[in-house]
Amino acid sequence: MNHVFLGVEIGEPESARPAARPGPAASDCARAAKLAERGSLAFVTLGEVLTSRSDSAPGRQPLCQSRLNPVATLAHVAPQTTSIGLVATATVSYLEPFHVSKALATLDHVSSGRAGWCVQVSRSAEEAQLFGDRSARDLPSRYEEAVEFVEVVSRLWDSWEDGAEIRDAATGRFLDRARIRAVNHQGRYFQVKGPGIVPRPPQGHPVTAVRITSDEDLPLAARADMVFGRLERIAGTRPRLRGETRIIADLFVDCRGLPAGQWAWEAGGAAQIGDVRAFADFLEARARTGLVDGFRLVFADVTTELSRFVDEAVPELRTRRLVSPWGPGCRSFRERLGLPHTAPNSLVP
Amino acid sequence: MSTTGKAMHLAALFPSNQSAGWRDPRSGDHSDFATFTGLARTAERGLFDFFLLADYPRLTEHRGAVSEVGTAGELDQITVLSALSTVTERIGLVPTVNATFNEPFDVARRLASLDHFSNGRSGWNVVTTSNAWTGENFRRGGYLPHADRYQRAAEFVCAARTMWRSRAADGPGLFQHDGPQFRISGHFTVPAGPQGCPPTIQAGDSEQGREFAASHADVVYSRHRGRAGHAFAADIRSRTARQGRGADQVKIMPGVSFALGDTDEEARDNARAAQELAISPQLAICYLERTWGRDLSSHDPDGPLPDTDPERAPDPSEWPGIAAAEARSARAQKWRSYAAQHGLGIRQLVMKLTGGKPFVGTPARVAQQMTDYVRSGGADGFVLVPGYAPGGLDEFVDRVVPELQERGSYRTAYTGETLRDHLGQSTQS
Repeated sequence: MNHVFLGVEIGEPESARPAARPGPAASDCARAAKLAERGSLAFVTLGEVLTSRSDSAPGRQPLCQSRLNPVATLAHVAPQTTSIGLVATATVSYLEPFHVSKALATLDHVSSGRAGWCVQVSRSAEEAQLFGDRSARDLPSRYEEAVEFVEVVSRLWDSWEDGAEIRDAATGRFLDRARIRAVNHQGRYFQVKGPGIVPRPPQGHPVTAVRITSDEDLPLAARADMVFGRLERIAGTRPRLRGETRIIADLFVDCRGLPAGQWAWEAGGAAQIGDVRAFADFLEARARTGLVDGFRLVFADVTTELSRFVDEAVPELRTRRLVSPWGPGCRSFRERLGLPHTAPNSLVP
Repeated sequence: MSTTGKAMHLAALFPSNQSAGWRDPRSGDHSDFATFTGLARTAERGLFDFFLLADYPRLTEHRGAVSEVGTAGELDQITVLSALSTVTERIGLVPTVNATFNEPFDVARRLASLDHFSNGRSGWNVVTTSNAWTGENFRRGGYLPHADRYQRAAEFVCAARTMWRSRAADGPGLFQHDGPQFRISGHFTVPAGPQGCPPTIQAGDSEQGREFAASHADVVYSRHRGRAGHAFAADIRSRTARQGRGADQVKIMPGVSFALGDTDEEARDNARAAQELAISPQLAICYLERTWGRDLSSHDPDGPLPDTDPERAPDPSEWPGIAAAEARSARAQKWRSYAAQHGLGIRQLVMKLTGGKPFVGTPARVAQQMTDYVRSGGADGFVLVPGYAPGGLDEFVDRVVPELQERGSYRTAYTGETLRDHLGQSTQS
């Protein structure tokens, strides 16, 4: 199948924004998401950086950021869209799995099954200060904690079976308690009894994504539905992931200042310029290798360049059947990604 | 204190109150976004100041297992309000936030985000929990001594305001908060909205709760009506004055329900019907079981109260947190004699105990009662609790609001855009 999964990051690269100009407004995010939907993209992502400065080590520059909380922002965007997947980054290192599980389940409910999240580990002492975390824990333990965090979040989603809310007026039973289970998680970093407090999300589990920047991310990625990363980093990861995991390469696009009809993109370490057909050839060729399942567009300036992409590049991609709109039978973001439309419930015997 | 001519403030609470009101066929699914949209838009049509979401952080249990009989489950408050900010334009959006099991930076950021999307319509209802039972879902468990819960809440509010105020016109500033509960610092990067700090709602009733309200709250969501309400309002206002805040800086808004009808008698019938929905036979039995400490399922819910005494030492695994035997015995005695005196069965008694003081009558009568109560100084307005969503406020907005407006006791249009504007407060930087 030639089909590729296309998404777009709707935050902004730190580098692109003049210091005095505030970060992307919610209206910019909503506009971008609606545009992306019109262009038959399968999902948007919204990154997060908790502080205004990031650690300076190379390779750790955050991809894009929202100064607004991503889950809340995509919840604001949800009623303005109907079919596009909404993937919010959440930095899990200082939060409660209970709260994150609840927020993501809610995003899934208000979007009718289009929620996803990108699990992010905090690498920054500055971020720890925001939460008063003085444990000075090392990075490996932060990653270990994140793996356990994802496990707890998933079990909380599973603590309600589908249809636990029975509303049986004849017997006066609102819930069927046999379909609600405690989580009873006793782990190294968390003790969470459960059950959760939100009815099971439409997708069972919102789509879980991980961005791979180093081997440290692989244990998390092994549990993910979707991975992002630079093409050269993730192209070889399929053997180390679950069979169904969607591998999505970051595709950097910067057409500012280029004449009409010209595209400039970078993936796999090589910058290229060409017309829209060359651009589409590139995507098609990479997809045909089978090493990646799709691309996440990262624009230097999403506000202007996404519009151009939808107007000029998408028709070419549609002609080649590389993208197609959300079909009438498509029930959820999971299904859009070619996964079973709901995730199985690990707590149901 | 005469307040003739003062306009009252109204708000709406999304009903999720562990009652059996879900049996009303008009009751919508409360994990369906449309249920929230419907109620919020009706409240906005009614020119309400804000739309409030409660928080029940753990499923109610009965006899050691999840309770099946009442409404249960909820959506994340800030997340669903962030979605509602798109489909509403003026009404305030107020989540209940637990200060015990949250971190100030996370909450401050999420609220500031909501404030941004909504163009300054956010607020927050700050509550505290200290119990270990709720704590079983969180990192630190039930760590907070009961006496410290308001100290933490006060410091939580202080830390959040420090973060919101750290923002300058040209971008984020540096913030620092050092206290017994929190030691945090950094840059707060969510852009400031038009109302500055979101207003704070507070609902506690204890001595500490009232002091907290007087110092920190912009709205007090109380549960007192009638004469008790007047006394409460007077108490809050005197505490407020002692804190050096003007009386109009704190709006006192009791939670109230209502029942309407074309005649007063029809309204009373509707009130009774609503109560019969809210208190199912099964819920009435559960209610009594919590005092008797024993299975009462063999009793007729419409029949007389048990003539036996409550269990003195019920198994704690089945009846965790049950009150002392003496207290329960005294309560049972009181209920039995009251029921006998008034000829009430089990269900009727529970309806009486849980009924509160709703406004009942024709739209004109209800509007007059509300107006009189506010003008006599009992409150600055009300948080209305409909029996169900999404349609439970339709009749109130269609029929009572015009009566209030006619009496000059309610606004005829929103005059401002932020929640602070609606509350009649200046922007707090």
